[in-house]
Amino acid sequence: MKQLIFFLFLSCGSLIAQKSDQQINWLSWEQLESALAKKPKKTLIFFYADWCAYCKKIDRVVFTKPEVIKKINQDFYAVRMNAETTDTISFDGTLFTNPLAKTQRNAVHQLAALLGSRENYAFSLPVTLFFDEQFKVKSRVFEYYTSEELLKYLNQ
Amino acid sequence: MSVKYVFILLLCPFFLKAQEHVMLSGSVSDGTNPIPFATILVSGTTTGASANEDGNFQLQLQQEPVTLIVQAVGFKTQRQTVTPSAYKNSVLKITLQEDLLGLEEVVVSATRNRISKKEAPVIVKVLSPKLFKATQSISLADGLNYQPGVRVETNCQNCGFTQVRLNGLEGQYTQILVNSRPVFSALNGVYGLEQIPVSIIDRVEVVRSGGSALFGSNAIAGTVNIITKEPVNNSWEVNSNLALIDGKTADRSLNLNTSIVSEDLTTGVTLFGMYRDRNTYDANGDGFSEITKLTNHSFGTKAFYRPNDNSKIGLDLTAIKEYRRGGDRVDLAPQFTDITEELDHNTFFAGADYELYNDERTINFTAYASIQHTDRASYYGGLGGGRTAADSVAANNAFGNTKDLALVSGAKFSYTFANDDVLTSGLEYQLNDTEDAIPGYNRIVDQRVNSVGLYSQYEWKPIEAFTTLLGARLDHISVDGFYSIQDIERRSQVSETVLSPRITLLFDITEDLQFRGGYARGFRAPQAFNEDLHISSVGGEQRFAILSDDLESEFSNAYTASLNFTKDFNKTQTALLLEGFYTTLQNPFTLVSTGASLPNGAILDESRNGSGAYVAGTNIELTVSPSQDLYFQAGMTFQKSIYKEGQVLFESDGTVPGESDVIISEFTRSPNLYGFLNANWVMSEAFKLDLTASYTGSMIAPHIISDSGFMLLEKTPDFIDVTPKLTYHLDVKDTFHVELSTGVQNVFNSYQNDFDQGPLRDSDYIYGPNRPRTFFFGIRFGDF
Repeated sequence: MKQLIFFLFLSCGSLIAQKSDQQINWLSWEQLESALAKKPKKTLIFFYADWCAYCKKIDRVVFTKPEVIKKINQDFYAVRMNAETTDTISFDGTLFTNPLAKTQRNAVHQLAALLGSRENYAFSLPVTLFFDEQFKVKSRVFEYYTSEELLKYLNQ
Repeated sequence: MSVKYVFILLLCPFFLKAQEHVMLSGSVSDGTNPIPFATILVSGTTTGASANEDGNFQLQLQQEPVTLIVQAVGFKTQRQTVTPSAYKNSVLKITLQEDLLGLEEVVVSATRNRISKKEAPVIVKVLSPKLFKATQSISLADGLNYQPGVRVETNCQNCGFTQVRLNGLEGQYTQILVNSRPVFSALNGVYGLEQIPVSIIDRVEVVRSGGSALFGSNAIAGTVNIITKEPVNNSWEVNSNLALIDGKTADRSLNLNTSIVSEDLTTGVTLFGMYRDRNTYDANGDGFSEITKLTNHSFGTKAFYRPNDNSKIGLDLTAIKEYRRGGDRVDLAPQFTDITEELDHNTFFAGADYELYNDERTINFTAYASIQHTDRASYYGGLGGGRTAADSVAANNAFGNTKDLALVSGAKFSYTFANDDVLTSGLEYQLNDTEDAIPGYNRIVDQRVNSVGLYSQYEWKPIEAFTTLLGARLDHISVDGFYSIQDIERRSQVSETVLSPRITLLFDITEDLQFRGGYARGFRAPQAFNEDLHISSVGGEQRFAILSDDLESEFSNAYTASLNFTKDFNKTQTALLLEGFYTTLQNPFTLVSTGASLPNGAILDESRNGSGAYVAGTNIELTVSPSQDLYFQAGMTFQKSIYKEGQVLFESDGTVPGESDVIISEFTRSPNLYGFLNANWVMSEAFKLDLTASYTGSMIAPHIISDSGFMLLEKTPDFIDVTPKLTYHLDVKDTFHVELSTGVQNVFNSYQNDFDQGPLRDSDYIYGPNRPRTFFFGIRFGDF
């Protein structure tokens, strides 16, 4: 029985691996939570916004490089989130919303603000976070990076 | 599970220990809802804190009062002075205001360094691509009207010469800059506004009045600074427009635009191309054009290379081939027509710049050089309504050639001190060499202007609410000019050094109300400017301009004061600008008609030192944004443009009965009232509606009515030029978008209706909106 599960798990993995040649296997926050519960793994979280030219550049140029896709899909869970979404997101037993969107343009979602804010700086995009297997923040990057630089962060 | 680590990690910095200091507790909100993660900085220190997700923060402070700077994305930066001991037992409540009107935009024109528009000591008005789209502008000339104090006018029915007037002063008082550099020569100034495609423009910054004298001592009325786009992503765009002027005359254009930027952002290039073809438009059916035929091919490139994070090398190249022709029977060779003005420009621009910062970004060094060369074949002439052999000989001799070279190079250095004061200094060299020859008229303009400018400016911020710019510019200018027309010869030999001081200040009266004031001195050395290079036609003959003997330099003093009020009423944001300006001109170069004084009976205008003059007035601008999808802006200018003594416009030789000198006390072609309206409504994701309007009040237009050159001073009616536009946007996919648009320019057909007729007409007698009712259809697609 155990072997069967193991086999199923492996085949799932290979399915993902096949898909991985095309694009990064982005998860939703809910999917991330259950995936972490099943199998701890390093995590990458990327915040973007529609107006952010550098975010678009990362999406189009960096996240499409085969070596980046391969590395992320192999070793990471990855979440890509619009920092200005008005969706309610459930994560770690908490509901996160975007209350400011009612009164403000380009309002930052609670979850993005929580993870992407810095002391002494206004919130800026893009924001990329790297977590270890225990889901502890290892590093946060608040600027544009090339695929080469991203691979360095991923291999840290 | 271990997700809580994240919270702990982020909350750590807030548990700071208080000892002999005061621990200030505060909360940041927008009035009703807390604003999470606002940044709180103590002014003048590196101390600060971030609010948590509930908007609460704690800050360890000394007993003394401090000024807190509170920032959050999408909100206006707020400064608040607090006495920490007053909050020992209570919470400091900070309320931030949303920033819908883009007040925190970054501009360069005010101090020649990048600073926030709100902190700029001079009023900088930004025209965005949104506005150029709303007005369906193809060239810069179409979109500039939509700022208070700015008016673009057409000056010739034959060649379509346009100029921009700031605060009522003629085009030559305005300095046109591309990326803060004065690349426009006197010759480019004649037709250049129509040669810049809007597709390469990121924004246009307009500074009215002489507050920005660091850009040049001739920027008396102001500066128009065209900032081109800086790409990040690979993109491409095709944009085509078909306009039908008065429903019949086609004006079509095609724009191509693409950018490629490397993954590491160290290299990039933008390529652009424009084709435009407009037929002649005849408003009154006399066979003579009111709007000129125009064929323009422009293409160019702008590339950059960043050797490291702190430096950048830029290179740009543009080639423009522009053909314009007006008059009658445009399908015939010009010498067989009654009147033709035909111009064939071949212009080449090349520029390079280098920018360097230190690691702390406190030092900025910029060096630049650009060169512009134009070869122009011209024809200003025709049979003039006659059919004699002499008319034919004259018509065959009206061909001319022009060569124009403009060189600009300079270096700028700026240093930001620890207390945020900024010192900016620079050196700029300009050469402008123009050679315009029409052998048949013995017309020569051979002029070389060399100028070296040294400028320095100190931005002093002694207290938070007060900023002042103290600066001066030392110009050494030498003019070597030879001018002739038929049997008249004139020279200009000038070598002089002039100091132009400048001071502007900004005072924040309250959080909502700002006062700005400024004084600037300017000067212009005697030389041929754009208008002096332009030839028009009247009475079947050409009308030339030449410099008079013993021209002296022109000086000006410009004073401005303004109040800027910005306030939010619940979610509605408003801004009101009230600006007064007063500019005096001493010895202004003024064109005076000497009548038909040339041997062949043509009219000669002389550029003379005119009567002292002043322009004074008020610019009012109101902006209201009730919601994200609605935006209204309206502006009005009330002004007076007065010659202190009567100014002669026409000198009668006394031989024609009933004709005497024409003397005027007000500027011609300068309305006392004009304004604009700009409204945008985003109806849905797909549809957008724009409504723009410009109002031109009544003014005095000179109208030459006899062969002798005698003119009437006509009082023109007022005009309201309204443009509605509907845009449909379709996202086919992430990398492909389509935009269709349609609308009507000048929908009420508010257009001049008393044009002269036939070969003897006064081609300069044109005023009011640039075109009659015009239907347009546009398509734009690409990855943008």
